[in-house]
Amino acid sequence: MKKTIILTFAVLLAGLFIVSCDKIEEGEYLKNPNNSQPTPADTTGQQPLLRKVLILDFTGHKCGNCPKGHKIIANLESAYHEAVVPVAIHCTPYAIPQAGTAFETDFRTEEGEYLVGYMELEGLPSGLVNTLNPLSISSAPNEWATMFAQYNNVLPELSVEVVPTVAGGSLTANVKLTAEVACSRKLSLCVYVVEDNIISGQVDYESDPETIENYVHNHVFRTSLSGALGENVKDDNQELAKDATIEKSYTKAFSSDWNIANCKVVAFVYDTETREVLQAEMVDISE
Amino acid sequence: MKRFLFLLVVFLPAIQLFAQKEGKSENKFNVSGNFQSDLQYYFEDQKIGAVAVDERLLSNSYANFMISYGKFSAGVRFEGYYNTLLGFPNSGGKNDGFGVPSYWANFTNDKLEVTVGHFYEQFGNGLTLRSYEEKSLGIDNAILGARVKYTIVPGVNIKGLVGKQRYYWDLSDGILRGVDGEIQFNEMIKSLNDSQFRFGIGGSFVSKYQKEDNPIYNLPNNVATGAGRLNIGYSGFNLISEYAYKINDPSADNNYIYRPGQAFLINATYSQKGLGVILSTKWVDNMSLRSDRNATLSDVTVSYLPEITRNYTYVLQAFYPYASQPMGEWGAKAEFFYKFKKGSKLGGKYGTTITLNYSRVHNIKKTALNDSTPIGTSGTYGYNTSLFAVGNELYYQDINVEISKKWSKKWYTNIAYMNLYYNYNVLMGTAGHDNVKANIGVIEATYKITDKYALKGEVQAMFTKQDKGNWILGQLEFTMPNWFFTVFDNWNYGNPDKSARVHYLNVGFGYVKGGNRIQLTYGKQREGVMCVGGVCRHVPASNGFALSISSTF
Repeated sequence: MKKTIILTFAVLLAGLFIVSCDKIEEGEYLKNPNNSQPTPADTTGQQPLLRKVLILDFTGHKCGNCPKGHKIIANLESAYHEAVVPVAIHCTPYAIPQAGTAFETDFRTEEGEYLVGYMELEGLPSGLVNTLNPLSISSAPNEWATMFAQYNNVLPELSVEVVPTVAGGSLTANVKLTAEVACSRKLSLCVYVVEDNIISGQVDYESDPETIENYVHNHVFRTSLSGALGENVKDDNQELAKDATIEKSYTKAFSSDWNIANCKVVAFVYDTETREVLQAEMVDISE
Repeated sequence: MKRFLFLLVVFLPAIQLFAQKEGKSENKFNVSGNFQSDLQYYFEDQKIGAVAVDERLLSNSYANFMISYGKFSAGVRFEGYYNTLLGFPNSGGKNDGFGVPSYWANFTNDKLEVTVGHFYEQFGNGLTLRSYEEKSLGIDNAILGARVKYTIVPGVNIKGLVGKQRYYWDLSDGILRGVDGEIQFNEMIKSLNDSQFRFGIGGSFVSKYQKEDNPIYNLPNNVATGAGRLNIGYSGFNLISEYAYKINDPSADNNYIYRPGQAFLINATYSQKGLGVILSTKWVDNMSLRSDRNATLSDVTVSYLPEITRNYTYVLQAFYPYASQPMGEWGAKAEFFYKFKKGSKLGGKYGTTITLNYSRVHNIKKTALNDSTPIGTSGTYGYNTSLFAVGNELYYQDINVEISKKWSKKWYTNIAYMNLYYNYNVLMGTAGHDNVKANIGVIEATYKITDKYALKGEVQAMFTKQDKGNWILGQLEFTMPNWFFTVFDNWNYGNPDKSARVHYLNVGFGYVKGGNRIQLTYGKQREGVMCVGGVCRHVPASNGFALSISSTF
């Protein structure tokens, strides 16, 4: 009897082990195995992805795990192109510059440090995907891809148009929000400036050596034209009718540290109460 | 009057039970519980990097209430964080608030135990499952679900569970299922009941379900881990060993690689009166399992890796604590304890105890899959290694000697020396920082003024050329019936930056009576790391008052 009992539960244990696990075979790890990155989305003749997704990537040039986030964003851009609106906010002690080294560049900003405190960040990398809600922070860059995917083919409630102009050392961004459907939300608008192709040092724990002296930093947050969290542009729950618009204009002097030719304006509108980003847009300043 | 009548109606059934219980002790109705509140008032102190908080005062509080009647028991826990103390897990303010995060009911008889609600559980040494609470780290990964334990025959036990883990005020994404079985032959076989030879085997299996929805990777919905263990003993000798295997589990911890995980540990002990020996070794590769593949830090951990290094209580010895490395580590520990007999030359009149320990931890040897795929690349098998392969990189080493001696009825001393090597970049997650080599000395003396009054003094010193340089600590503690008073100063006199040679002065007192304790301190706390069982949290620098109140009833 005892032997039967022991044998029974040994078989149960082994049986459970066999049936309750999923083995992914080698060669099936990626969903688009033909390329090392996902194949670009074919938008010709098809309805393009209308909802554009903001990714706030809190990062630092001495953060060795942060390049994982950069790679995830690059993979998403490769697959979804203009639907990805990334902003890399260099912050925390991981962004402190060090004179005489590959880390001389100071990417830090006042707005970035403010957001670190507001979001109560506990480490880097940290990301927010289409939200400014601190409770939604994710420290796992691969999770950003999962969060991004939920907006696939979702129609936006508002569209955002941005027209940047440069004159006399100042940048002006004219932003127009258009309600694609009737909208009763309270709305806030944020307008940032980001810069691509900044060559400077970066620690990458997956690299040998770990310090990459000529790392290409993209979507680096440079400043906000509207404050770190933007400004209210609709502070009531009155219905904004379909096709109604809200127009705003922001001007700020641009810094001599920037290469304006590599800069873009990022504008995004979000629900003031839920903090969900409803639509984002990114345009080259040279356009 | 109405309120009194209301309360009488509510509690009358309980009062009647009390009346019935006389002469039937097994049906006793019991209420018990505990309460603890830790409050801290923060001052800004730029010299030590202590930030001011908008709230000025932060607090962590909880209260447990449990009732039991015969074979039934039930409990509930209230917790309040208004707001969470600095340094405790609280990303984005997730932990702030007040609520009832834990409730449970339990039935136990001779063979069967059933629990529904929140519970903690460990299978074997924890390699497949350890759900636990550690308030000092802010860890609570209790499982909300159901658990059944059954004794088939004496010495043969099986348990199964299903549920979701606690994630702050919510639940984890993944669903856990687990089963554990164990046979202790000494209990099962009557002829071995009183034998000095002890033998037992056990096995566990845990599976986690989390729907995969990643646009880039094909992820397993179900991740399973299993382990086998045995324990052998004879007289004062005991050996415990466990091996665990985890199937592919791409996650934030391992950078989304598809490599399986393995862990092996063995712990041998020998003890007799006045002598104790511990020998341990542990080898781990890719053995982090969580209820959410994207969780990080101390959130929703399922697997647990027992620590291989010694836990130190003296402040400067615990300055650079070791944090377990689930992605790969090999460690070994040897500990020796001997008490020289009373009356012997070295033992003296009251006996002398000497403790020696040595621990060493390395990385494991990993090789790249091929020339074009760096080790640990996402979306690949990750790397190659083999069981027990040890790498060349030293993570941690400590050598410690401690001598405790009672000199007379009034005098007691404890002297310790520690030599430490600490791989700062790996264990603190930084880059470009020098590894720390330090020598640490401790002298502690206690003088019993009377049977009820005692004065303890302590001097500790750390000598190192790395990190913040040398430290020295002095402490005085006076105890009397129900009261204690402490003052200590931790001085970073050797900091290469002269302006940072700060005194971290602390004063405090406390009152203890029965199950009640209240303690108030004021002073500076240096930035550091606190670890319990190989799991750590960052402790930020602070300056201010701290009040701790606890009670058990």
